[in-house]
Amino acid sequence: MLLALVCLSAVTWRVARAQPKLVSIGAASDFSTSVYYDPPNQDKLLSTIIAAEAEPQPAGQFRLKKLKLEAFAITGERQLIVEAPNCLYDSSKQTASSPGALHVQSADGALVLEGEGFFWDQKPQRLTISNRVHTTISVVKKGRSKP
Amino acid sequence: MKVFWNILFTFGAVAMLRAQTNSIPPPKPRAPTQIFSDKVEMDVKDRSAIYSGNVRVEDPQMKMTCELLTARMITNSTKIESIVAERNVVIDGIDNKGETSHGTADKLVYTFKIMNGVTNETIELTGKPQLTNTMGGFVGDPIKWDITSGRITALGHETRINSKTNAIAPVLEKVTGEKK
Repeated sequence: MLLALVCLSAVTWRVARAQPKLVSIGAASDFSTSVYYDPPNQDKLLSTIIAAEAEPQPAGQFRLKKLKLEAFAITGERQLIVEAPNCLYDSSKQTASSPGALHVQSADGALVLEGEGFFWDQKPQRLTISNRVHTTISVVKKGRSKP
Repeated sequence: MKVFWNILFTFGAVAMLRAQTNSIPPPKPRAPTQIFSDKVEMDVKDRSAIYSGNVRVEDPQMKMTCELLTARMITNSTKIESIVAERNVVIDGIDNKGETSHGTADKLVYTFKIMNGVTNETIELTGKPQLTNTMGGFVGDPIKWDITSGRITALGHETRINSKTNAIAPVLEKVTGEKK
């Protein structure tokens, strides 16, 4: 039991910041990080990043594989889902970037973006896609999802 | 007995109405709108996106090219509330009757509003705008196009009537003396 706890601690990163509240708990094969809104909405989720694999890099950076990023409205509605094969996540700046491909989708699936090369700034919820952007806007489907 | 027949007739009428309603084929899903560009900057909180570099919009009713396009979406919806297209705007549209129109301008502003349950869709072309369709051509600044009513108004100097058809649509108006 003790050995298991030691092993778990060895592969778990925890980063805590004052504001916005950033909590990151992950392992080499299971990484997730969440950012919350500023007070008085500090209990409301702003965005999350989940990755299948995380490799620590210098200066608080992580090389993530099979990334899934989600952005939420202050009402709790999921707004955007971003998926990418890999990216570099900077925990101090709360940014994610990659020269590779990505797939972006709105929660209702009506808006889909694809492109190559992106930069995601978690706090202001800004996404830049740098190359070959293709957006598809379909007829709005009913029903929205909540986290 | 009369009451019985009245009830029976009512049920029969409702059943027939339902059968007629069910026989109407569902409308075909609208083809999606596609936007191609070199770059996009999305602001999720602001529900806006700025497309830049070789921007191309392809829609079942319209094709457009420009250098910069800002799109804003309605809150809690993926319906576009406004589009501002800038720099070398070229638009080719096709209406429900299959008639084509071609427009050029420095700037195009599209707005979508629902006020008191009435949909309002407008396009305004500014910066040396020109609009040509099968009925004639317009040169004016601005040229306002009410998509909902089909009315086009141009504040300007010149209206060319199509020499082949020798006609100009009654919905087309040349407006002079209008203050901006």
